[in-house]
Amino acid sequence: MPSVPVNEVKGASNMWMLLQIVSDPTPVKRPVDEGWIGRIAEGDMDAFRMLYDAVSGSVYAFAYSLVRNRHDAEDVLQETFLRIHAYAAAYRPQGKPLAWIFTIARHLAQDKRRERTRIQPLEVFPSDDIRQIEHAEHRILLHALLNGLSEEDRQIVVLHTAVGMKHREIAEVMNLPLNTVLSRHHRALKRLKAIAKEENV
Amino acid sequence: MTSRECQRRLAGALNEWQPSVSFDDIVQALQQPRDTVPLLSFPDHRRTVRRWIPVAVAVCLMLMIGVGGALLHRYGASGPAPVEPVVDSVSTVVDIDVNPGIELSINASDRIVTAHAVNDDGQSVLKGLDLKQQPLPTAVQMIFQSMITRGYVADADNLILVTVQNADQVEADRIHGIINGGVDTVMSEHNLSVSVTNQTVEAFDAVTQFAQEYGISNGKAAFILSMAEQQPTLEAAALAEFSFAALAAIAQHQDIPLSELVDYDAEDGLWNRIIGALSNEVAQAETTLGVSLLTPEKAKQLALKGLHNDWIAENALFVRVELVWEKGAPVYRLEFVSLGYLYEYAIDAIDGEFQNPDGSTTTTEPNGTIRSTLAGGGTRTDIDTPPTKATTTTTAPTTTMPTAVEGGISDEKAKSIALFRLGIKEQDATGILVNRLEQYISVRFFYEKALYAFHLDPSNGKSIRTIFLPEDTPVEKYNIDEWDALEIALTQAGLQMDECGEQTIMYGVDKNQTPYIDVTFVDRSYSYSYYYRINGKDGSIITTTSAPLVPDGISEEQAKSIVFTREDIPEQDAHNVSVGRHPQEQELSVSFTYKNQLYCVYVHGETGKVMKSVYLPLDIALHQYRIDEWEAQEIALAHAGVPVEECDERTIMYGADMNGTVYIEVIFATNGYSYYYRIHGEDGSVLTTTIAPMGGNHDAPSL
Repeated sequence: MPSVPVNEVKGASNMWMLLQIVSDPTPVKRPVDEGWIGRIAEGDMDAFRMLYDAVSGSVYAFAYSLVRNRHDAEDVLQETFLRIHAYAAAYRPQGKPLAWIFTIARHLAQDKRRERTRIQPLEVFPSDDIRQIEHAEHRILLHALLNGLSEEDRQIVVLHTAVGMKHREIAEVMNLPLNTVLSRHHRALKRLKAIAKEENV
Repeated sequence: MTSRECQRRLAGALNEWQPSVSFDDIVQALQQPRDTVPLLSFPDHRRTVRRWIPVAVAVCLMLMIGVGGALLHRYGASGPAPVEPVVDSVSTVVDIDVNPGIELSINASDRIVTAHAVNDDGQSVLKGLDLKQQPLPTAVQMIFQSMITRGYVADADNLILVTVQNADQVEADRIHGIINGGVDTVMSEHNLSVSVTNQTVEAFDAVTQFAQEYGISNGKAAFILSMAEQQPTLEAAALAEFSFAALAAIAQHQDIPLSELVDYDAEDGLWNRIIGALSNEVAQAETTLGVSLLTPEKAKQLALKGLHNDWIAENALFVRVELVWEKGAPVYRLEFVSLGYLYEYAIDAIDGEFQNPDGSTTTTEPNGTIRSTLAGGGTRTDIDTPPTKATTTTTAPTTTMPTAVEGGISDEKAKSIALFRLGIKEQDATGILVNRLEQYISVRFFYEKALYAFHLDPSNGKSIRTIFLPEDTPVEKYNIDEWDALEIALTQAGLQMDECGEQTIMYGVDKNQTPYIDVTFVDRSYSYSYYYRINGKDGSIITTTSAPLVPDGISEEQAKSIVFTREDIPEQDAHNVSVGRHPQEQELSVSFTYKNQLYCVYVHGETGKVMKSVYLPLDIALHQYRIDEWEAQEIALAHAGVPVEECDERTIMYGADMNGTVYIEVIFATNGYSYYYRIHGEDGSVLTTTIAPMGGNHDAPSL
């Protein structure tokens, strides 16, 4: 009997597509209580802090994946939370707080990037921005993520890996077909694994 | 490293990578006046948070006064100031929405600072226009001249929304006057009439956010939000998909007073002018039934309901939902993709009737494509299977066909297919060019620093070939082109063009700076795949590989027969039958639904032996699962200490127990023992294990 590599057979079957939708393995889970947003609207700063603690890191990583500049990513992070605070009252609970937050962040990052490209072209991201990372392996992976993937692939990987969003939610935030998100994520991971292998990670 | 491991490590890396902005910084920023917070869009506008109120103030005064009056107002009787301001800051933002959407930023001297397209049609209109520093009246005339030339303003009556973003109503009125004057000038030159609907708004975050979210102009966003505010049953998100003319029609049907939406002067008879612009279509629709148009969402639901198949409906991804006017009636054109097929529907926007004739017929195209007319309306086209028909020459055809092939796909459809194949949206691509040639439709565009060219079969949209050319390709180093490379590869493979299936051609440069062209294709019978790397300078072959795809294997039909016989299910009773071939794994998968259960059976490509069967009840609570069948199998095999290649057929079943716990059962046999595992669907823990000897008294293996 021929070898059937378990992970490699998945790619082409509709079955897999369906199952991926519902059973995305989420390496990092950052539970966000949708009720926090209502409490923020009522001025509850504890809820605002909890939300910040839960998602600020991933908002930053997501923003950085778009603007590729620490200063701009921090601007986007700050503005995202200011908008969350300003518009919490307008938020309608639909069970998708992450989609709401990251849609805001995405729009702001795109604006920031447009603003930036009017001044100077986007270049390869400055490696200094990840110098603070202590683990060499983490630095290599981040470098691969930021320089080895296309922009949309980067966003998909960050939203899935750092935020813990399902592919279906990512498709909604990025306004892409679900199949596109699935195939791009698959392709991006393959690329990251290949880079990691080259770098002996 | 597995994908899971890769993700785990990457998550660790991202977790370590924290911003220097603290929560206290955010709180501090909150306490500052809002205007000091960095603004990220429309940087020249200081936006403030305030309740958005639709401005309903008369504006058409300037229409009566005219441009001269506007200038008089601005500069006084002594004429324009001799020296214009040096600082080129934006004083007003203007949105023009026809179907093309264009946003103009204007300085205090009424000159254009920037002109942005908010949609692809707008991009097309602005193509070749240099509007920067043009006076506003000139710019408006250039824009509308371009719209007429490109066919966007061609009807006898046209409806245009002009939105001026300026807090100063008097100034906004003046700008409206200039624009209306420019529009009237161009339209009268072409004997076209136009109704300009004026709207004045203040820059507001919610409007901008909504506009950005749905890829529309701020002006259209303001109009839509105002409509939704007036009529709470309307969903703003659903309205975003409509053209402005359709929005005006909906407003009329919903009895929303126009005076509440836009600047309105009763004496100007604006309402009548709008009715005039929509006269044929709307009046007909209104007098026919006097009911509201269907929402896009309702149209989508009807199309999916018309399928009578939940499985296809659940997997549907809509690629087009458009309200169009056909033969004097509003019709929704819907297209969606599901399980490898493209479905197309036309639905009457008033009564929800399907436009296609009823009855189910199937036609087979000369190239083997099956196009079906579905019962209940709509058509279905297979988009996954590569074409079996190809062109017969390797010389780039140059004959341009002016019109669409009868019964074939439109240019617009070709464009959407090409974009869909690459998995990108139209706004992500630039320079989209559709060229209809004798043997194929060419769709070219730039995306992420590369040029993509898709050659599609004009009769059905199937891909004939894809060409990929990175922007930094040193084209001057090439002495051959893709057609030469394709011919070289085909000659080497001993194939004629009509014996070859879909081709992929990629330009590139290797480590030695040698330019090359990669040519990949399969033969028409899908028996062999071929790959050639051709030297771009001299046409020599650098690398070549060819591999059998299905060595003496079984056909798709045989695979189906094996599976249906084994499952004892009559094929005609099964739904959504699809067969996938996975050459690398030498297997075929046959999936179908039968009696509310999904079956997916994997068959060995050479022997026809069933390797794995997966059963999934369609009503199972899939959202509760955190693992899938592959992970369950991995867990069970690891627990049993059995390598996958050593076990016989595997059976995997999804289910839920009486307590509502979801699980996946994995059953397999090896070395004379059968193994049964029930794995928890949420956390992957082993719930039950049974090991039994198969027909002998062996000792059970230890786990």
